[in-house]
Amino acid sequence: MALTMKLTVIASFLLGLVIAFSGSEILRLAYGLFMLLVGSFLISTHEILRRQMVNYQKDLDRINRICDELDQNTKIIVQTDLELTRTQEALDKKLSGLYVLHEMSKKILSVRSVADLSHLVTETVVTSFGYERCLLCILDPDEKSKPRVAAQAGFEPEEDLQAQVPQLIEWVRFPVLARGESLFAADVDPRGPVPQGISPEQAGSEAPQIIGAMTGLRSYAAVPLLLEGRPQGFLLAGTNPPYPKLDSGDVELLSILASEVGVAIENLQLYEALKISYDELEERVKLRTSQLAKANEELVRLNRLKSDFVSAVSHELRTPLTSIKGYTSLMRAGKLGAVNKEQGERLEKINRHTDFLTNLISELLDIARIESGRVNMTIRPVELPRLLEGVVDLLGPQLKEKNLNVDLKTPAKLPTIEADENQIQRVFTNLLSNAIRFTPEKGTISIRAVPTDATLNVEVSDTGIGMPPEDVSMLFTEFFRADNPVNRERKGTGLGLVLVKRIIEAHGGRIGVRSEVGQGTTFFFNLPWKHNA
Amino acid sequence: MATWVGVGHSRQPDSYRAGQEAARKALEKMGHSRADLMLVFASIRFDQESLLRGIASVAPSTWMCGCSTAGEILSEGPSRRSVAIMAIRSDTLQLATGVGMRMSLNSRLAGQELASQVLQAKIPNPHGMILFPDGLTGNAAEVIRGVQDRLGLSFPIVGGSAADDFSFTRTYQYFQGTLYSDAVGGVLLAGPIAVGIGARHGWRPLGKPRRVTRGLANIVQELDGHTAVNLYETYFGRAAESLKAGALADMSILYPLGMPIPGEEEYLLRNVLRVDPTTGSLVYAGEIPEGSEVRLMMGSKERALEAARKAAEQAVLSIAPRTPTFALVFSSCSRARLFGQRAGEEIAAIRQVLGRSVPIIGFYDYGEQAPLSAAGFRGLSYLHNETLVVCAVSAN
Repeated sequence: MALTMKLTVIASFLLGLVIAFSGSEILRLAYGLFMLLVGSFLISTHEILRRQMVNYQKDLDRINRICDELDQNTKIIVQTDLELTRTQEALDKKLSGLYVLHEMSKKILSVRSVADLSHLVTETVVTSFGYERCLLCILDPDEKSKPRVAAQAGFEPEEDLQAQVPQLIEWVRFPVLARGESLFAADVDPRGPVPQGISPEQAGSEAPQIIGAMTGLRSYAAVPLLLEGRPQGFLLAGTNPPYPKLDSGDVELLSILASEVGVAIENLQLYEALKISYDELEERVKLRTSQLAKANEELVRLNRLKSDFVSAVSHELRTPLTSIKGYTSLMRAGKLGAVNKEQGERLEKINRHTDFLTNLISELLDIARIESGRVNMTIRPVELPRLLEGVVDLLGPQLKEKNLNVDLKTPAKLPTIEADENQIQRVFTNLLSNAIRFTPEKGTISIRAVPTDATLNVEVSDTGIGMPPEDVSMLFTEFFRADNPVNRERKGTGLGLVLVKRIIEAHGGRIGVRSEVGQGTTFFFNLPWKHNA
Repeated sequence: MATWVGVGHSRQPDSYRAGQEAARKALEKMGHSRADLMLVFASIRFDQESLLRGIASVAPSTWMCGCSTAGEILSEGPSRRSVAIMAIRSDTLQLATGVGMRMSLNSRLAGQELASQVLQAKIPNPHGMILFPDGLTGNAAEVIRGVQDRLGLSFPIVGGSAADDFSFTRTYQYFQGTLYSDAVGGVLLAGPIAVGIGARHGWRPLGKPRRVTRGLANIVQELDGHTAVNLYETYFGRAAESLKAGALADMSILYPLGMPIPGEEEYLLRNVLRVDPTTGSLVYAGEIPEGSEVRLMMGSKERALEAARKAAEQAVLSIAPRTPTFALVFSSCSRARLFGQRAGEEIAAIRQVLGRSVPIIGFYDYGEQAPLSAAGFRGLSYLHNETLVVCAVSAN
C-alpha cells in the first residue's frame, strides 16, 4: 500500500512538471483536478490504514491479555498439581510403609523362633523401609535386667557393635526402657565429641548425641518393645545423609512395627512354651504307649498260653471221659452184672454229668481253636433258608414240647453267602436253643434276614423273659450265666454265646444283643457276603 | 552364534554380600560361569567399595560398567535400595569400553578421552555407544559432543546419567571394578547386531513462553529479565514460601523447562538440579543456551505412560524384523516421582511392547542420552531430561 502511494505521489509530481512546462490552460486545470483527486485518495487510504493499525493493536492487546489469563490459569493448574503431587507422595510413603508392614506380617506368621523373627525384622527395616541401620534389643527372659542384641542390620561388619552394646543399651534404657517412651533425634552429629564420665541418668540433652555417636547415625528413633504391657526391649532405626532425616511419621511407623513385633514375640514365646510342653507330653505318651504295647504283648502271650493249656487239658480229659462214659453205659446196660435201682440212679447221674463235661470240653476246645486261629473253616456258598429249615427241624421236638411258634422271615430270592455251613449252623442252633429255653410256652421265636449292600443282617428274637442291662453287658463273657429261675433249674456251660461270637467274628461279622426284662431278647448279627480269608 | 543374558538382583543389607549375591544370580541366570560384560546399577545406600569388591569376588577380571542410581529397573518392575546386574556373554556382540575422567574440568575432553579408548579396540561394525556420565558434575551434553568429535555426529549414543537417590550430593561410576566419581564410563556395541533406540517423555508445555536472557551452559540466571527462580515462585504461589530452597528444587523436578525443537514432536526437557540460594539461579541437569525460548512443562501419569509405550515401540520398530535379545531402560528420576506407587506400570508397558521374555535392566537417572528422531537432526544424539529411553539390542 505504502509503495503504491509513493509511486502515485512520484507519478503525479512528474506529470505536474510536464504539464507546467507544456503551458496549456486546460491541461493545468485538469492537472489541478487530478491532484485534488489524488489528495483525497491519499487521505482516505491513510485513514483506513490508521484504523487497521488501531484494530491490530486491539487484537494484540486482547491476545496478550488472554495469554496472561492463561498464564494465571497455569499457575492454578501447577499449584493444584503440586498440591496433588505432594499429597500423593505423602500418601505413597505411608502406603508403602503399610505395604511393607503387611508383607512383613505375612512373613512373621511362618517364623518359629525369636532369633529368626529378629533377623527378619531388622533386615526388612533396612531393605524395605529405607532406614540405613537397625538394631533390635530384647530383655533376656532369664536375666530380666540385661537386654541383648537380638539382631542388627546395616552396620558394617568392621564396626564392632557388640563391644559397644552394653553401654548403648544403658543409654537407651533410661529414656526408652525405664519410661517406656520413644526417643527421637532428628539431627545429631555422629562424629561429634562424646562427653566422658556422664551416667545415662545424669545426662539430659547430651543423651541423643551420645547414642548417635555410638550407632553412627545422624537421625534416628528408638521405640520401646512392649511385652505383656511392659517395655522389655527396643527397636532403633535411623539414617545418615544423603537420605532424608526421620520425622514424626517415621516414629509412628516404627512404633507400629514395634508393637507388631512385640505381639509376634509374645506369640512366639507362648508357642515355644506350648511346644515344649507338647513335646514333653508326646514323649510321655510315647513312653506309655510302648509300655502298654509291651503289656499287651505279654497278655497276648499269656492268653495263647491259656488257650494252649486249655486245649491240652481238654484233650487229656476227653480220653478218660470217654472211658467213664463207656463203662457207665456198660454198667447201666447190666453187661457187668445186675444193677439195682439206686445204683441205676447214680449211674444215670454219672452219665448226665459226663455228657455235660464232654460238652463243656468240646466247646472250650472250639473256642480255643477259633481264638488261636487253628480252626479250619470250610468256606462254601451257603443257602441260608435251607440251613435255617434244617436247624428248625433239628430243634422240632423241643419247640413242640413248649408249643412255640417259629416265624421265619427271609426274602424269597436271598443270594448265597460265603461261610462255613457247619459253624453257621452251630450259631443258629445255639441262638435258637437259648431262645427256646428262655421263652415260656406258646411264645414266638422269629428269625429275620435282611440283605444290605455289603452284609447280610440277621435277627433272632424271642418273646421270652428277657434280661436286665447288667446281664446284657456280660452276656458274651466266658462262663457267665445270668441269674434267673431258668438257669438255676438247668445247667449250662456259659460258653455257648462266647462260641457264637467267636464264629461270627471269624467270619468277619459282628454280633450284638438287646433285651429288656419281660420283653424278650433279640440277637442281631451281620455276615459279609464274601469271606475275606 | 548366540548371546546369553542373565539379570541378578539383591536387596541384602550387607554391601559386600549384596554385590556377591546379585553377581552370582546374574551368572546363574545367564548359564555360564564367565561373562563378557556386567552392567551394574546400584543404590548409594551400599558402601560402594564393598559392593564392587563383592561383585569382583564372584566375577573377577570381568568387564564391568555402570553407576549409582535413583532406583533400579528390572523386568519385574522398579526396585529401590538394591543392586541390579546384567551379565552378557556373546559370540555375536562385540564390545569395547572406555572411561573419561574429570568431567567438571572439561566434559568434552572427558568424552573425547572415552571415545579414543573405545576406538583403540578397532572393532568393525559399531552400532551404538552406551554412556554413564556423572549426573551432578560437568556437562553431560558436552560429553556427548566429545564422543561425537571422535565417532561422528550421527553416531547413536544412549545412556543415563548417574544418580544418588535424590540427594543430589555425589554420584558414582563403576568401571572395570573401580569406583569413580566425576567421570563417564562407556561401552561400545558392535558386530552383526541391531540397536534400536526410542526416547519419549509425554510432558506438555504450559503457560507463556519465556526467553533465557542470561545463562551459562546448564545455569539459567535470568528469564525474561527476571531472576530465574522467580519462575517457580510465581507458579508455585503460596506453596513456594513454605518450600525452602532445597525443597523447591525437589518439587520443581516435576515441572521442567521445555525447549521446542523444530521437527520434533516433543519438547527437549531440562530439569532442575538445585537452586542457587544467593543468586536465585537455577542449575539444570542439562545445558540451556542463552537466548533459548523455554516453557514450563507439566507431566501426567497417563501421558507419561503412553510415552513409555511409544518409546518402546520406536525401539522395537527400528530393529524390525529382528527381535530384541535384551533391552536397557533409562528413565528419569522425575518419572519415578511422577508415577510414585505406579512406577511399575511404566516398566510393565515397556515389557508388553518388548515381549515378556526379553530381559530388561536399567535405572532411574539424572539425565538421558538418546538420538533425536527429527529428520533435520540426522540422528544427532542429545542430552534429555525427564525422558524414558529404551534401547533394544538384537544380538542373535
